[in-house]
Amino acid sequence: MESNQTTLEGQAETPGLWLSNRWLSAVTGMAGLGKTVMVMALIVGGICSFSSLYVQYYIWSTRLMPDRDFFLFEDYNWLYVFNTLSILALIYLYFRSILEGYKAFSLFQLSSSNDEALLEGQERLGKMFTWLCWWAGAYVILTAFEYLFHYA
Amino acid sequence: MESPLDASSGFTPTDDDRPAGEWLEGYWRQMAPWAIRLSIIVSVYCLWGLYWPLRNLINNIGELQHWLVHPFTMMLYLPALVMCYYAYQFGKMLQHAQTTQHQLKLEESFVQLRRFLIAGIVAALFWGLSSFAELYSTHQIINQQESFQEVPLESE
Repeated sequence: MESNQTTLEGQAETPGLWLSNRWLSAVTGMAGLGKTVMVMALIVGGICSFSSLYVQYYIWSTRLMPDRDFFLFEDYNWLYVFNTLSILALIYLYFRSILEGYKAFSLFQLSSSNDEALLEGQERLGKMFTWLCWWAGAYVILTAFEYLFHYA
Repeated sequence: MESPLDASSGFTPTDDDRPAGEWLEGYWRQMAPWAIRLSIIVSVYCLWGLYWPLRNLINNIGELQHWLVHPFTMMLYLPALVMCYYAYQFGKMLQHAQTTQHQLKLEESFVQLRRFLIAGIVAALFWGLSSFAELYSTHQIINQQESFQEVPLESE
């Protein structure tokens, strides 16, 4: 009893946030939900990526026909090259963020008994937000560029 | 005896509770601004995405076709906006919990993260349907163009 009281007083005097049972159960409880969302995001991202790459394939199959010469700065070819490279960059950023999220939520499932998993899971959750932010930023900039190019 | 920690958050640690530690707090410190930035960027995009169908709907208020297409387009952005709201709340509460050492805010911030994920399921379902429809229509357009190219000219 006395040692218990000493521990609690010692904890209460320590400044900082706590890994309370309620917080831990909230984190482990959302792991399954998080993994489901990430799998859905992977499927949706896969369909969108396939759709974009399919269009790019069609464009390049017509632009690189054997009877046509290809010059980078003619016939807006530079724009098509830029478009293809930006789509590939967006696909990389998106899938990297979603995979970080999937790993984070997988680690949260183990976090009730494993501190290392909890720590790594939180690190990966932070990375998921960072990569998602870069993806969203790049997507918005490219959409704005496309809009300006077409309507300006 | 009540500590300053208890006074600020109403939280009394039990014997099982452990301090989060510098590493974990460091991760949260880095994570919160990125969640806020993400929510702001995606909200701007969604509001922009909502503006166009809304404008078209107002401009063509009498046409039935617009009433079928544009509300569906708008529905794609609404779950994403809800996601943004919860991501923003998550980031703000995490920052607040860190600056004031407020334990209950920390717990509440992860409740917001859970809500962000639930909204994510709805958003993923809508975007999945939309992207599948887009893939189908792209395939149709490409097929139409190819069949159009294959038709020989009368002179040939």
